[in-house]
Amino acid sequence: MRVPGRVWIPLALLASLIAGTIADRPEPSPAIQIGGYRVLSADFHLHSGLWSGGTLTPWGLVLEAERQGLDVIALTAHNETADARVARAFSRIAGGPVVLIGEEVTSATQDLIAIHIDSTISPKLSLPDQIEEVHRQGGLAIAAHPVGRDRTQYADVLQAIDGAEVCHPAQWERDDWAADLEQFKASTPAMPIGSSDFHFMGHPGSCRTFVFARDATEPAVMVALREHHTVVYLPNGHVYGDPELVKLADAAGLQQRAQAYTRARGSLLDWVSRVLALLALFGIAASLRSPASRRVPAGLEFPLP
Amino acid sequence: MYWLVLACTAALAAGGRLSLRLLLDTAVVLAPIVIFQCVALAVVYWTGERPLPFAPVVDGYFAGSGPWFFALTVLAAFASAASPPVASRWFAKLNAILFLAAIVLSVRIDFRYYRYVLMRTTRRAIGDLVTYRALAWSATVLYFLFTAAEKSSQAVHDVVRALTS
Repeated sequence: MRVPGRVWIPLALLASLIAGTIADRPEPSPAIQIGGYRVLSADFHLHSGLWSGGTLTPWGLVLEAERQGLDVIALTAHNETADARVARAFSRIAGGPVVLIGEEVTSATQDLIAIHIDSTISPKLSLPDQIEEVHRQGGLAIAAHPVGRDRTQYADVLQAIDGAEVCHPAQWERDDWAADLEQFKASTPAMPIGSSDFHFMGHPGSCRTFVFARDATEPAVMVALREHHTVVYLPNGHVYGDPELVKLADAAGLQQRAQAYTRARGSLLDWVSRVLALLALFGIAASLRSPASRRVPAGLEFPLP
Repeated sequence: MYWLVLACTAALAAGGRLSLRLLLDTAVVLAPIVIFQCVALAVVYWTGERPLPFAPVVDGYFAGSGPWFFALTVLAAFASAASPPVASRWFAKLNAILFLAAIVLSVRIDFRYYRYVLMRTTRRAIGDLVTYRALAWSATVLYFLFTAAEKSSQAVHDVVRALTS
């Protein structure tokens, strides 16, 4: 396939690539210490691109999460944990965020997020058995996007689950789903969780959990989660978490920080990269001519590009 | 070129910019899709008339990807520029409209390609159209969603029930 006579297209792509690569660094985010806690930004529901419905590799997702200022992530592929293992190995070598082995246990009726597990949990188990298996492996079970039908499936395990996604992009898809998420959280003692469920757009951490841990290590994160030391801000101003921790979070300005993550992204260089790339891509699309679009009588060979 | 456009649009949607890291990353993840399409085209090519060598046939076929490129680029523009709330609310609807348009437009282009470039009969060209899509699209869906197959089949069931009730 040849793009004829459009020199500006590769030049625009190259300029876009240069601008984007220069902009491709983690923004400085100083560690937050408050009330004896290290406050960590976490996203426990991310999908990479290898068999998990995303478009970034596990290692690419680690780097993107780091760029979005996340300290702790869980890769939660559908019904497998291989992606998460690759991501954790990479992050340990690269000095990236803490990566928890996770899985989105996806069955026909509902999804369950399992984090800090050893091996894959079968979606063929009943929901109570899935949760029991997560606990047996030393992990935590989180109700994934409990909206609509998914929400009703959790009715019998409200006391058994450890966390409930109260901030999730589903809240923006439908107004009744936003209400579902909050009503579900009100019905369970599970800790509040904010997750982006990132697949291929938006960005990791667009919904996130602030974890109040003693330090930024995996054991400290798990201790904090077992003690329900999480705070989640919703875009509508509502906040969930232990009232004492919420006070600390407010004092640290975390509400403003959480709101910022839901806005359109990008520095000037990001926008330059974006606009140039889109111009080039539109240029390519407009330049293409299928040999079949030319009117030539049937039976004659078409001149190909 | 097809692979490059796929990777660029995915990088823009995922990261909001085009960087070397994102481009290489999405190129790795999306490589199987290009392979599936080439294999599907090879199946169509080798099972019928072959008036041209395979390499120019591949080039010519992907030169008909304009509707798909437009759809992907508009989606990338939207996903990269919109805030997460706006993107979450409208992406599925925009995606459905653009892909429907791309499917309709590409059917005509692809049919003409099989009919007049590969010199297939009308009936055979329709068969090629169906075969190519069945092979390439099924493989792509499986690649992205096979670990969540049960949920996906339930979603399809729900859509069919909603449409028929």
